[in-house]
Amino acid sequence: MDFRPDSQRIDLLGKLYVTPTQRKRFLKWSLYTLTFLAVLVVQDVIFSRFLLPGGKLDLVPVALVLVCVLEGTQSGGTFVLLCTLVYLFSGSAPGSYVIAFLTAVGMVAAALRWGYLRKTFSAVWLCTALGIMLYEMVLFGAGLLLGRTNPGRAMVFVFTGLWSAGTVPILYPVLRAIGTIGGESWKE
Amino acid sequence: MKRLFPTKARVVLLLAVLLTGVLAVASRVTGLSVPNLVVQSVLTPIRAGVHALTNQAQQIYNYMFQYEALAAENQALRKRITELEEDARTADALSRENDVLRAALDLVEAREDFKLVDSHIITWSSNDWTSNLTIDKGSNAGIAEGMCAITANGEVVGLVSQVGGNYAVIKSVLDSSLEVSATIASSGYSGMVKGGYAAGEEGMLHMDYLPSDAVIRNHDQVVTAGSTVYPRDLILGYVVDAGFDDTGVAKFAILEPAADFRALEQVFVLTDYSNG
Repeated sequence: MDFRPDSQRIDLLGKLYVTPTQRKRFLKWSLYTLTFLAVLVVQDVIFSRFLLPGGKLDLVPVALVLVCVLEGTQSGGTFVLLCTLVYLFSGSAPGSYVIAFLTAVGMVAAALRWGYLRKTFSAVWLCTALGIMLYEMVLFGAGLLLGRTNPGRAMVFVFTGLWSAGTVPILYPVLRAIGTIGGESWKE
Repeated sequence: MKRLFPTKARVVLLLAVLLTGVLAVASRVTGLSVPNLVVQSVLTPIRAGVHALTNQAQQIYNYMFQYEALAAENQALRKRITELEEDARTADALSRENDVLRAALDLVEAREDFKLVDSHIITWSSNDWTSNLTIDKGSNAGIAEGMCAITANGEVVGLVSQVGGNYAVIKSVLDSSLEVSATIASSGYSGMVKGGYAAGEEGMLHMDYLPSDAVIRNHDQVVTAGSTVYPRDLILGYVVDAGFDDTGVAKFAILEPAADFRALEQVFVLTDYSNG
C-alpha cells in the first residue's frame, strides 16, 4: 500500500507561507495604521480649529510617540518613520523636518521607558508626555530658525504640549489593546 | 545594560534624517509631489465624510443643548428689529419735517418781512363744533394771543386763541366762530371766510358777502385780505362751489381749505410781519 500524504487545504496566506503569528502581527500593525489615519483625520477636521486656553491639541504626534513607546525603538521607530511620511504628504505636517523630529523623539521616549522605567501606564504616560513636550520645543526651535514664529509664542507650544499629553489616557487603552494582538509586545 | 538603540533603530533614525533632507530639497525644487497627491486624494473623501458627520453632530448638539441660548438670541434680535423699525419711523418723520422746513425756508425767502416760530401740533380738539389744535410752543417762544398760524407753504391754519408758557391753542379756520376777511385773488371780490360746519359743510370753508354780480370760477384762489391780525395774500382755500345766499342779494362760495388739516404736523406762527 503506497503512502499517500494527507491532502492539504492551503489558503492564500498559506501559499504565501504566512504563519499565524505573522498574520496577527500584520493585523496589529494594520490596526495601528488605521488608528493613526483616524487620528489624523480627526485632528484635521475637528481639532485643528478647536482652540483651548493657551494652545491647542496635536493628536498625531501623541499617537505616534505612544505607539513607539509601546512597541520599542526598532518596530515603533520604523512605524513612526513611515507614518510621518504619510503625515507629511497629507499636508497637515508643519514641514519635512517632522520626519526626523518625531522619529527621534519617539525613539528617545521609547528608550527611556524600556531602559529605565517599569511596564505601567503612568510610565508610558510620563514618557509620552516628555516626548511630546520635547517635540513641541524642538518644533518651536525649528520655527524660530526658519523665521516662522517668534519667541513670544513659546508658551503656546508649551500649552499645546501639555494639552496634547493630557489625551494619552484616551489613546492608551485603544493602542494598548491593539498592541496585545499576536501576544504580549512588552518584551522585558 | 541593554542597548537602548540597537543597530536597526540607528538605521531607522539615520533614514529619517536622510529622508528629511531629501524631501526638504525635493519640495523646494518640485513643489507638490506625486506622494502628496496620492495621500491627499485618499484622505480627502474621508475628511469630507468626517466633516459632514461633525456638522450633523453639532446641529443636534445645538438643538438639544443650546435651545435656550438660541431662543434668547431670537428675542434679542426681535427687540433689535423693533428698535430698527422705530428708527425707520423716526427717519421718515424727520424726512417729512425736513421737507416742511425747506418749504418754510422758501416762504421766508419770498416774504422777508415774516418772522416765524416753528412748532409741532401736540393735540387736536376733541369735539365736533370747535376746531382747535394745540402746539408745543408758547409765550416763551414769543407767541402771543391773536397771532396767525400758517403752514410752510403760506396756507392759513388759524389764529392763536390761548397762550401758555410752553404751549398755545390755535383756533383753526375750520372753526365756525372764526371769521377772516378774504379776497378772491383773480377777481378781487372781497368777503368773509369762516368754517363751514355750522352751514353743514364740515371740513370746508364758507365765504359770505360776495357781490351778487361777482363772477366766481371753480378753483379760484381765495387769500387773506390783510389786517392787524394777519398779513395779506395768505392762501385760505380754493372755490369748489358758489351760489346766492338766502337773501338773494349776495353770493356765497364754498372753499376747500388750502391747508391739509388731516396731514398737518407742523405749523409756523407769524410773530411779526409788515403789511406793506
